[in-house]
Amino acid sequence: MKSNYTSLILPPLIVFALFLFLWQGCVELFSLPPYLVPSPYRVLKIASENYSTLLIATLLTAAAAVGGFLLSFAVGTSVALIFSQSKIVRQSFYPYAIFLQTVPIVAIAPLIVVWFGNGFFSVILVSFIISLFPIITNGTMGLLAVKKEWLDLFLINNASASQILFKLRFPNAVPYLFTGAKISSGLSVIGAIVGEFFAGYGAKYHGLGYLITFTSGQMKTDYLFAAVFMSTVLGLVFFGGVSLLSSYVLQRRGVANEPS
Amino acid sequence: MQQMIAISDLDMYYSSNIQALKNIRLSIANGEFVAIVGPSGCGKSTLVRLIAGLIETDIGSISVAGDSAVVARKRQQQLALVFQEANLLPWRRVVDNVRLPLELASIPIKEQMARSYEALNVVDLEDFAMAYPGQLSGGMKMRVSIARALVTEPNLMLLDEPFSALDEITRQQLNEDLLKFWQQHNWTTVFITHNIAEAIFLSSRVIVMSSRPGEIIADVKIHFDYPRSSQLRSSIEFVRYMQQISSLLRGGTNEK
Repeated sequence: MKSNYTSLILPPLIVFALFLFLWQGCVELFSLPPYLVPSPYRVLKIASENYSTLLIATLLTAAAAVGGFLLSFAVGTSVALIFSQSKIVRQSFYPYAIFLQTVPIVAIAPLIVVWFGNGFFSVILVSFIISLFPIITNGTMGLLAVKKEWLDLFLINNASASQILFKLRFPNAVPYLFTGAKISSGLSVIGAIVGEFFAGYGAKYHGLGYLITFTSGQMKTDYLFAAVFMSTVLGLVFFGGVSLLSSYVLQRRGVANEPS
Repeated sequence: MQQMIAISDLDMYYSSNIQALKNIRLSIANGEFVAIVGPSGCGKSTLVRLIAGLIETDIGSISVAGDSAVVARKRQQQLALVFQEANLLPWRRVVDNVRLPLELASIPIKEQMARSYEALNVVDLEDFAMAYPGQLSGGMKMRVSIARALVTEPNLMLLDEPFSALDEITRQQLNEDLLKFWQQHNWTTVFITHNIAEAIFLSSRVIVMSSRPGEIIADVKIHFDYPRSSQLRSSIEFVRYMQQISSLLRGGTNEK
């Protein structure tokens, strides 16, 4: 188990180290100006100088992303439950669910700020909108993808509609919901950062999205790199967390019915 | 003897022009073990679903224990259906699969567990109560599926090609087990199969069906006493029954 783990972690780490080495080498060899491509060393230096600002920004963005993600999971699952109950409802509302997927979030975000003002709530809302769709589609798919024989089994035993929903359809949908959650986890971080482009948290504290717009405007490219790096780490941690939870829960259910 | 199943002049269409079943007349007495054989696609499964009250037809009538099939289904715990595949819910442990019918009937959890362990004991799988279906072999899954049917103590047991996916040894073993359970509980049994030997070994009556539209072409009484031993399969009478039913089936298939 342990050696498995290291073989999973070690190769990408080596690639990362090589990449940093190459990057530093290129910057020095071609003497690239720091406002264009800062060296990894510079990025690390500015990051440690602004350690607390970066950390607070990361935590704020993380909180907004978690909020948006949890909200989208709760709402998305509820919508899927409703969709699974009626074909007419599904057919009538599904096009509008697709709307959530196709609307350019960058265009919607300013509108949300107009409606709900600056602050945490608006950022969560942007994150929520962008991460809602995968939960709805995957959840609905899982709720509907029950074998006919399973339905027969429940009908033979005279199961009620709510028993069919909560003892058959919902458990069947759990792996599908996790698939949706994995997609949404990454999207929720993107949503939070996009939200912060437009809606700040006030004068004192800033999220990563604000840091990114601010530092790029100021040509502080090294600082920008640090902020981008933290955003990426945040997305990875988030995705990794949901993936771990998913494999833990599904493994407890004993191999079973992971959707392909 | 009292009738468990009475079907008269029943026709069934899949869509407006494809006929699945034609002029089915069949009555099955309480406690009888009846096998239905026929080529695949002859509507055997459709017939089971009709008896189970899962589907309905406009032409002809079908009654189960004195009521229409659909009404009979809605009476709690009257019938059990064993499917072609074990059909276990992969997210539930073995014991939780077995107690599902009781859970759906809102029976107290203590009684659910006690009865489920009892049923698992009957199929000899008590030790696997806490395993997940994914960890079991095909034969074991099928036995769990039978335990799930046993647990409700039904009056009518419907089995739709339950052992068709299993190897011959496992199939024969389960056949013998099934006969043992049947003799203990004496439910009425309708057993669908396309395996002639299995039908003869198990039942007291073999209903032979033709291919689409499915029609009953023969009703063969099997004159062997119960309990039946595995040696029966190699007896001369058994082979005669095999020949008789095979030629009936061949005739029914070539008809068109």
